[in-house]
Amino acid sequence: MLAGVEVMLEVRKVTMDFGGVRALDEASFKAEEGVITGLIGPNGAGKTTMFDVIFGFLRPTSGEVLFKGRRIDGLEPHIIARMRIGRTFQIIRIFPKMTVMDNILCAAQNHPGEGLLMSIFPLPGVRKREDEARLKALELLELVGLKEKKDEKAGTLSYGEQKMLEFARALMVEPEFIFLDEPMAGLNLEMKRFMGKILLDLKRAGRGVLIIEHDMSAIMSISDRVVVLNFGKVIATGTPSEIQNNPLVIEAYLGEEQRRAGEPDAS
Amino acid sequence: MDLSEILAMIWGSLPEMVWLIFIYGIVTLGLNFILGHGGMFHLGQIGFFVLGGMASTIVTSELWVKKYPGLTPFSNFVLGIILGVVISILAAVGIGVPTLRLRGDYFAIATLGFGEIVKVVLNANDDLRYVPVPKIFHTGSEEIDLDLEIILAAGIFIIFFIIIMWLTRRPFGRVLHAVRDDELGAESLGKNAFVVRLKAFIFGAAMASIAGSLYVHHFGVFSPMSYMIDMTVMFLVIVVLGGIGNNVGTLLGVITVVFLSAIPRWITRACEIDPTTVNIGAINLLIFAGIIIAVMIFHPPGILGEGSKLEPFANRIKREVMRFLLGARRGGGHA
Repeated sequence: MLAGVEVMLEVRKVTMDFGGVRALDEASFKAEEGVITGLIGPNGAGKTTMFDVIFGFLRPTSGEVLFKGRRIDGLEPHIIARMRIGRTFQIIRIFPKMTVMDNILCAAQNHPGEGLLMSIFPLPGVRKREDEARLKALELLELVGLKEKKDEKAGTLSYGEQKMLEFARALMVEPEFIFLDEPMAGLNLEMKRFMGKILLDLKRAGRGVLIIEHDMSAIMSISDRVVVLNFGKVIATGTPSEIQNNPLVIEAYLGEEQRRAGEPDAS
Repeated sequence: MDLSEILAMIWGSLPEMVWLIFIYGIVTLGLNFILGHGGMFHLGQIGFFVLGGMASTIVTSELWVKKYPGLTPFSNFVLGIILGVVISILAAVGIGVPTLRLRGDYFAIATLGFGEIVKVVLNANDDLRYVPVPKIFHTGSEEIDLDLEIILAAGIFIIFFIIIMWLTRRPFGRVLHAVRDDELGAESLGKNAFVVRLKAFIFGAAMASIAGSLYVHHFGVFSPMSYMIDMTVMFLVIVVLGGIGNNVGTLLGVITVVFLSAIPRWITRACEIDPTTVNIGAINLLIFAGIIIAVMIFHPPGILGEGSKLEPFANRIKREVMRFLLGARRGGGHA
């Protein structure tokens, strides 16, 4: 455990049942500020379910989720988001019919102009806030390299660009903690390197980051701590090098091949 | 009838059609806001239209006037509109709160039921069946001052058209569109999808109510059962034909539908057929069905909807108009 950093997110013995299927089984882990935490595990281990539980899309069967010491499990997603938590999705959730700019502006927080009456009769502060939001959005678009495409419909962008747009949108929330569900999947090498750089910047700025990723080399090089899920249970936590040498993890990832390789001997 | 008589007959019916275009325009602009911009499948706009009529009927009725003789007919008229809006807002909250959190189909069923139930409930009330409404637009004699009515309806329509334009282009519309396109995505950005939808629903409902108030004063009688299901269908046809989610398209849809549904009436009059032997409502339903089928087969986006072939053309006109209205002040603007 790293000394002197504050725990931002704490998951305590979270269990999630879908009918007879137990997707999460008393899973517990912590994530600190200024630290990139990787969440890995084989397919179907419950990684995305974990995100959905933390973010309020699912109500856990039992267990607690705490953000900065406050319980957030069972709260609605928009309330959780307003606590300055951003997220991206495994399957991109941008607004395809809206322009790239509007996609990002939607993520502006505490925007008084979003009220119905304020949109009919805007008070003087509204336009100022809108202009600020536009400036901020332009900055973020420049960061992810989409500034030239700001007036295009988001649905016309390439997969990688949509992914970057969704990421920029999550940053527009000015998150203290950001959840990324497979941010590297589908990106080309250059974009991956770029994404890694932004994540390191976030970390240096003292934000908390939690990543789900299948790209092992990426997650091992970027994460400070790694949490391994298998069949809904946390089977290991530690630094990347510890994880790589953990027999339980090797078993979880390679178990099937080992078993298959072992079959001729057994028979 | 010879040709000149027919033309005179058509010419004579035009003012009332213009008035009707504005009245239906207010209703369907509200419906388009809910359905097109908010993505809520609202089938009960007629319910709010009827509620507005009811409120105006009560407030301007003889009984009320006797009870509160101090009020002028004009203040009663305004009071009727306000009362209708208040009742409609309450009704919209009553329907929206339980159903807007659920999947869209539940909302569609609830609103459809609401529209029909309002009529039946009001019809069951003897005091409210065929109530004569003062024709406040009378010019002393029997003639209705249609010009005044048209000006009033047009004024209210234009005000709402501008407000709806603002609402759909400004931050509220942005969030509303986001909620429509991807509810979970919008929630993950801290937007309360339920509240945003409810606000849009209430606003569109209030518009129908105001139109309903104007509507009863024209006919001078309030009979709940005369608002047939044809009307629900017609409102929907207008929005679909104009292009779901396009405000100008809705206006074009209203104009088209009002004219098309006047044609059977013109023909029966021109051929001197006894109007009691023809069911014009049924013919209109046939026309509406024809429009819907034709739109769905030949051009699903409607006149100006998302992906319409006329869209680039319309955008060019829009740019020119904007440039004319705003000058070079805010260049381009945002779609």
